[in-house]
Amino acid sequence: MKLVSLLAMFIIAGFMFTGIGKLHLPGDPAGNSNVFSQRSSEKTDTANISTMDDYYLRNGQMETGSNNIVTSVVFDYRGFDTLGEAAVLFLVVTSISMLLFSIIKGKDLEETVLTDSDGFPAGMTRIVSIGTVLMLPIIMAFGAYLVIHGHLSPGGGFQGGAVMATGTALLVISSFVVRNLQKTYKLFSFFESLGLTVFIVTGFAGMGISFLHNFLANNDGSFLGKVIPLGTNPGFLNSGGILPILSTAVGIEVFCGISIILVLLSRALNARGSQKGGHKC
Amino acid sequence: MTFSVVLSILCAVILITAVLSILFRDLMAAVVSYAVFGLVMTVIYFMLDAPDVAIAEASIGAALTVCIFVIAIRMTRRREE
Amino acid sequence: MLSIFLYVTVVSLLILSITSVIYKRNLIKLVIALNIAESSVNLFFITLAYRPDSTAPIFTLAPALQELRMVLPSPQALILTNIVIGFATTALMLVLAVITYKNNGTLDIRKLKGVEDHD
Repeated sequence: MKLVSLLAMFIIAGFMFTGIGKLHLPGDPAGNSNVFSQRSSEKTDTANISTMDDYYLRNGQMETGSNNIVTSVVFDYRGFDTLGEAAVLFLVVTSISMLLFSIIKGKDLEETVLTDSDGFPAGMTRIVSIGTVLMLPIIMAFGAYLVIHGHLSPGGGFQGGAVMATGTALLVISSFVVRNLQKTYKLFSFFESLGLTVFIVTGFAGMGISFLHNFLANNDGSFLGKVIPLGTNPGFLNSGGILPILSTAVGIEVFCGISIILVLLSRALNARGSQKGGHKC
Repeated sequence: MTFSVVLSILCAVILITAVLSILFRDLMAAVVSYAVFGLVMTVIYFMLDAPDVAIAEASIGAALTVCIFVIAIRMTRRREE
Repeated sequence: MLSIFLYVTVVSLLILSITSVIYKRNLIKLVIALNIAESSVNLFFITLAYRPDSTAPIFTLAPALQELRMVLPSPQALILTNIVIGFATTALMLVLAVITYKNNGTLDIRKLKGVEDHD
């Protein structure tokens, strides 16, 4: 039986390796040397465009007011897909909470943390605690910068939320365990739901034309609607239409969702029921 | 030319760390090897002109995944029987 | 020449992860193997999006339009969301592995016989 499965693996590997020759090399869809050669200020004729991505590259800045084309694809052209991804994250966090609250129960919900004389946690040395306190504001500020400037520079809701959640991971591994689990869980859960709700409400606000229609972009320079010069520009924060709003909503949701996962896992690690079952490593 | 050489070396490092993270019997060593895998993958994404993906992979692949793996290993057992 | 390296890496990682999913028995090792498969798919998409001598698809302080070539943006957008979702599903798999260990006392999938009914 083992021999048969090994033979099947070799056959699959052979198929995959011979399939490499059929793949197109990187750069082949760019048949012309410069995709911007015929660009004008009007909308490009769709019949002249070879691929979908060239359409995004030529018209994305004009239609969404965002300098970062990846962000405009994530939150504008494929915004409905992103809504599905945010819903998947919400669902996973819900099911993880349901599973872990079967381990954490009783006294573990309001466990008090052992602290030393200065209020730092007693689990780690003082070097780790003070280093955490020093590093945490920098990490949070960098994550918030990534979220807010998502339409100008590399970044956006998903990356910024993940970077901010790294701060929570730093708190968790340096034994800053939360004192009241119920209150922390309710706070994070509220903001996670708020992020998803803001996303959906912003999507329905442009409902006159379509779901997630970018109704704020490129209107006479009012709130988030500055008309940016096409092509290379230094970047304007007051542009992008609904992209910064959606980016902030997704950033809050990702930060709070991952934080819930980390906090619940660390509390389940320190729960009393788990000490007698498994053996320490 | 330098680009291709550096990229091929990074691909070799990725393959080595992936094989090591499968072969180690000690799960903590396997997870550390997987962290190196994620870090080198970040450099490859950056060299392939994908800075957005590189930021996400740097924070998730090298930091958060290792964190939850270490917590899960401490809740179960460390050696693969 | 460049693409051959990347595509061979992708296929090798995929074969490695499928083989270890079949032959390994530890549940946490299976989660690591599935993560490696996911990383290989991510690398495949980013390789498809790459164009030689191009810049990232961001117009802020980019070179002038006449000599500007950019990589494809939509595969990068797909992979961007996939990485975050991959972390969440990894956490879910790990929690299921931990609960399996608490109920059965083992992580070996050959020794899992299920729990007896307690009704």
